[in-house]
Amino acid sequence: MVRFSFAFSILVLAGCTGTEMRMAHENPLDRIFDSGSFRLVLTGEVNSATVSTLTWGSVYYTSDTGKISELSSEDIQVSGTNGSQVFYSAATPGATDIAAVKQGGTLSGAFAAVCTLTTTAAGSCTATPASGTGKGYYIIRLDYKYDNKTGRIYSNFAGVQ
Amino acid sequence: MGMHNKVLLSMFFGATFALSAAPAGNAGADLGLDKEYFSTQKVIRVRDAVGKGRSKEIAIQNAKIDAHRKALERSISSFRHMIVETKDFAVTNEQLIADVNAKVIDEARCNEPNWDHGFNFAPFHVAVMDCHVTVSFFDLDFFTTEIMKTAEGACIRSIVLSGWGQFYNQNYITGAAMALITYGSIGYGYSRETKVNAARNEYNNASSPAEAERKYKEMRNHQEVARTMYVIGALTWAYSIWEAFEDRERADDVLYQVHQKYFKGKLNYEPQISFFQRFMMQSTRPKW
Repeated sequence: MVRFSFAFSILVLAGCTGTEMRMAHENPLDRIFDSGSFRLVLTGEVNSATVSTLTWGSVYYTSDTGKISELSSEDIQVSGTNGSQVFYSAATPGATDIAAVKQGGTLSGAFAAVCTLTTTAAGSCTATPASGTGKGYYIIRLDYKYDNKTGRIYSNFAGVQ
Repeated sequence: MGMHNKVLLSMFFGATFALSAAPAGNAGADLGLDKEYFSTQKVIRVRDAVGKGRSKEIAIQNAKIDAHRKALERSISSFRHMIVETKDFAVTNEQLIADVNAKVIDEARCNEPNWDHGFNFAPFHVAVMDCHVTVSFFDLDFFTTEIMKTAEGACIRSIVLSGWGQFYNQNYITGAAMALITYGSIGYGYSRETKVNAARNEYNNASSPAEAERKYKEMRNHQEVARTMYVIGALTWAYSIWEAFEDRERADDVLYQVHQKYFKGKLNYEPQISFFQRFMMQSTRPKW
């Protein structure tokens, strides 16, 4: 009986720790953003008064079964001449831009391209925005072709202050 | 061809007022009575304890002995059964047997004796005393109620309501704990789950990265606590079902021993292992 109680306690603890559940990150202002089934995390830090360094990881894909896989550049092909770019805005993203990111639409004119990604693997770029200061909000837009489907994914907005 | 049968014709319980008024017994409690199952105690008042002796001390002592005897007669659990023997369909012998399963467990506590009876008993003294005697006895009501219970009954009750099976097994503290943990966990989990949608809206409406991160943690916390509470509730409920069955099994073992000790040959009690019990015993018990 004592042994069973011990086993039961272990089972309860295992059950409690096994409650990790997937929850979508739906707000692009979060440090993580799930752009549909894709995830591309962007971080940024200020280098000087005018320059910021943006860093991003690989693109991850979550299948319908919940399996998460890291995609190579060959897996998720960049389409178009400027298919993958880092955009910048000195102002905080408004509701229009947030909605555009959530729906995979087009960012407003407040955002201008500051870097072009040649591959979709993890990397970085040094941005010197025309506005003269590196502080503001950055985001990666990526037009992809994966599994014979095309679409657009966004990273999160990386705020550099 | 002669036919000789010893037939247990009938049996009935002679439960006295004390027995029917006795509280539900706690079977298995160790009273230090040579491992007998006299689990119920009751203080019996004997107003007419009478003792005679050549001295007052002897009269008082005899009155106490009389109090013990009367307390046993009046409070005990007596099991009466009739044995009838037949030969060639003719009754050759019949007996009504009364078994007494009780013990006095302390000395009678008596008031001052009454010596004045309006009659001279000289050279003897006659004491009439009002005594209280504690008797421990085998609770027949409890036994007969318990042998009617089954492991399936306990199990099904716990399936319907967590802890009910334990109450059925008269294991009240465990039953209450099971019910409290099960429904407390599920209730608290539900209350946290109802907050998830509001937390998700706050997260989606967050206007800065720091706020978004904080709100996301809050939303996730609600959902994970809810899930954890559901898991604890479900596991406790499952344990309640299993424990109710096993506890009833253990009780059945005790009841079988009680039957063997006190009622073997007098009362038919042959617990049958059902398919359900066999499945539970063979498929749900750990193999250690």
